[in-house]
Amino acid sequence: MNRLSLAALSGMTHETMEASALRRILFVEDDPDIQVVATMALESLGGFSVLACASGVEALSRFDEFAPDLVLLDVMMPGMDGPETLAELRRLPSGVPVIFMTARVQGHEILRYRELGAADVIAKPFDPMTLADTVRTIWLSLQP
Amino acid sequence: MEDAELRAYFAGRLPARIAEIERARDEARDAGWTGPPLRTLHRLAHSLAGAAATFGFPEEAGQARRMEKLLEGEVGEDVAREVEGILGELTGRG
Repeated sequence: MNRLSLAALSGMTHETMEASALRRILFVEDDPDIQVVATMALESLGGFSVLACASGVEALSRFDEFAPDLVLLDVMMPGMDGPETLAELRRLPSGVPVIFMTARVQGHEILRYRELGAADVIAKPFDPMTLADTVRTIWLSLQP
Repeated sequence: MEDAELRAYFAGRLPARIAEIERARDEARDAGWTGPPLRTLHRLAHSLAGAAATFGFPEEAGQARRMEKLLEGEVGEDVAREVEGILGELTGRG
C-alpha cells in the first residue's frame, strides 16, 4: 500500500468516525426522577452531553440551540405526548433519529412507533447501568 | 453511580411522590372519577410504576402498576376502594 492510499484510508477512517460519533443527546421525559437517573447514566457512564427537557414543547423550543445527534423521547407525557412531539420534530429540516422510551412495547405498539418514524424503541423500565450501551448500540445500527 | 446510591435517592423521593398521588386521588374523587383529574391520577400511577421499577423497587412498582391498570377502566365504588387499598400499601398503612 503506497503513502497516498494510506493517507486516503486514514482520512476516510477519521471522517467515518466523525460522522458516526454520538455526542449530544436530547432527552425528553416528564418524570423528574427518570430524568435524573437517565441523564446521570448517559453522561457519567456513556460520556454523552445530555440536555433533559420535561416536555415536548420545551424540547422543540431548545432543539436548534442544542443541535442534538439523537433524541430519546418518552411516549406518555402530559400535554404534547411522544408521538405528537415526534410529528413536530419531523417538520424540522433536521433528520435526527428519534428513539422512543416506553413501557408499552407490545408488537403492534412497536410497529406503530416505527410507522410514526421512530428509529427504535427502548423498553421501560430500563437498566441505568446499561442504558448508555443500549443507546450506543442502536446508534451504531443506524449508521450507513 | 451504584445500585445502592440509586435506591437511596429514590427512597428519599418516594414519600413526596406518594403524597402527590394522594392529592391527585382527592381531586379525581372530587371530580367523580372522570375527566382530566382521573387522567392525571392515571399518569402519576404510570410514572411511579416505571420509576420504581427503574430504581429497584419492585414491590412499589407492582402496586403502582395495579393502580394504573385499575384506572384504565371505569372507576366505580369497587375500583375506588381498591385504589384506596393500594395507596394504603404504598404508604405502609395497608
